[in-house]
Amino acid sequence: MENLTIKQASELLHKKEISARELAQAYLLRAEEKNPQLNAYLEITNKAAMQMADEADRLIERRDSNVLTGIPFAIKDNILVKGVPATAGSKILQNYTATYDATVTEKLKEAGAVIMAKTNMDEFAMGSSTENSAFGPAKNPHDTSRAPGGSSGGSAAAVAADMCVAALGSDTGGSIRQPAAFCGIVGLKPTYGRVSRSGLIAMASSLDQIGPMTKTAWDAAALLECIAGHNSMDATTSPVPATSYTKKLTGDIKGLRIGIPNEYFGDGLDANVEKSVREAIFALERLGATIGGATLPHTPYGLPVYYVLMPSEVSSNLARFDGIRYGYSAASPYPAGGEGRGELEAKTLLDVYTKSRGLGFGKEVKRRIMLGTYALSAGYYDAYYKKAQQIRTLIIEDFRKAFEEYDVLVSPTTPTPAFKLGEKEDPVSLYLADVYTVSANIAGVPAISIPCGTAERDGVKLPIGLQIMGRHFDEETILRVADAYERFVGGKS
Amino acid sequence: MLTPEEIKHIATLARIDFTDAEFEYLQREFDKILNFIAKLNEIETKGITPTAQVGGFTNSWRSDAEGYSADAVDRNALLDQAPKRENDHVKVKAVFE
Repeated sequence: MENLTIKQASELLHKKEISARELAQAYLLRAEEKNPQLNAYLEITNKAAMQMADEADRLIERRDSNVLTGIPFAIKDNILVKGVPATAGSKILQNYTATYDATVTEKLKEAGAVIMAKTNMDEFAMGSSTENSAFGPAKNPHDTSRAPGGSSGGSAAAVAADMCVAALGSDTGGSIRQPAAFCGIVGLKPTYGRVSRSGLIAMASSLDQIGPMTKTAWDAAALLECIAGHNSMDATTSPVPATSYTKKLTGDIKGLRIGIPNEYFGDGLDANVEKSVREAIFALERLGATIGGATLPHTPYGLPVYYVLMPSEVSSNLARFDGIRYGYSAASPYPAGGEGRGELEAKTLLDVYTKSRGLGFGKEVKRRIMLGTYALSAGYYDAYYKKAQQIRTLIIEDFRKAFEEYDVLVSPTTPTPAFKLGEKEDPVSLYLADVYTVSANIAGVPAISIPCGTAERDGVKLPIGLQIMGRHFDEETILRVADAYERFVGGKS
Repeated sequence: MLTPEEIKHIATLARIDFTDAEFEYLQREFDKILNFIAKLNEIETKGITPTAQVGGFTNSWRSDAEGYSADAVDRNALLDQAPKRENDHVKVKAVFE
């Protein structure tokens, strides 16, 4: 039972060649075995997983099952699973246990999926390497001296190392696609509003989206099918109905118009990455697609826009962590929250807020809260927040025009393959890891990263990611391109 | 470049207690990030409508009954998350002195 996709595992389960119990046991065992080295999991929920596996076996027996029934999943730690700790990679939530299920969790449970672990991540999803996790970085399974990417680095590492069959991540500026590229898996950021954010610990609410991290495009389609759709608990979910994405994977992309945005092939793009991406584009052409040059002229402004909008929304969303209702509190320091903090026992209510937040949050989180507070403070709102929102309009306009001419846009996912842990000391240089992914969040369009080759570094072959961006709510076309490419290069099915 | 007083003022607004070393570091980092963001000034944005969210939705309604019902969430479990609890209340420091 190794390296199974959702499709393969589901076939084995439904042919009764294996039971969900056996499958869960095999994956739990591998997870326990590999986690000390990779730190992909913050929590492995053995007991609950076995209960879900037994329930899955009953569902399969009763023929009340679907393709996700009995499949072992890992879930990013900022997504709530009732009764299971949800730290979001932060010390401030170290003692927090989720009191309800996120909508996506509920949907997975209804499908009979087996939730087996919570994955490591940058604190509150802020980072591109998982080095901002309060619980130590996750490691890239291809080379453990390298970052798995982030912020959904634990999910990406877990899928790549076969510690689960598939996982959920969240993507605010590239946090599903960039780690998927670094770890050599498939990562899909759906259209903003496609998947409910209810029960996702909010980072930047106008950008956040939950999505699949899987071994194949087919698996991503199957998982999206389960979690997509309107949800009354998230007012920004769209009434546009979700479709049966797996049924749209025909392998046929003849006549599809593919645009190559030239702004994504400029300075800073690694030569190996460019070569692999160009080869992948050539493969798409051989499959019958028409290739042409596209332009997204405001691309250079994507990251600066992001670093105004995101921290502003962060500063507002993270105001809830105040040491009063849950999590770490300076009013009542628990040992793990910081040894020798007794002397800091807060004396006033204001102390409780400032000291709980000062000690509970990590460096990058505090930096972003501060930046957002500044951008939104009196006298600066127009210069920063409003200005960024106006340029956001221009970026959306770029995509609208490009999609008049093309059905999808194809680019590298990241400028380089996985970098070394500790290599990016300067925050701005780390921000650049998201240069090709961030615009899709700003415009709200769906985008997928799929493996498209490798680059050799220190004798190790590191994966390279190909990004395919589509029109709003047109996940089926980007999935179809991804699947057609996989078939062409002879990937798993 | 922001002055130390300005940074301290923002920290007060953000309700975060920083050590002196953290303040010094923040000031340097802030500068780098503000320089990075300053690129936005290259674009004239007069008359361009700002986009707050891309869905294009206006109001979205649902009845309260569709939300989490009172018994869907365990009240005790919620209260247990509070750092300080007294009977059925979350305990906080005095608001007025």
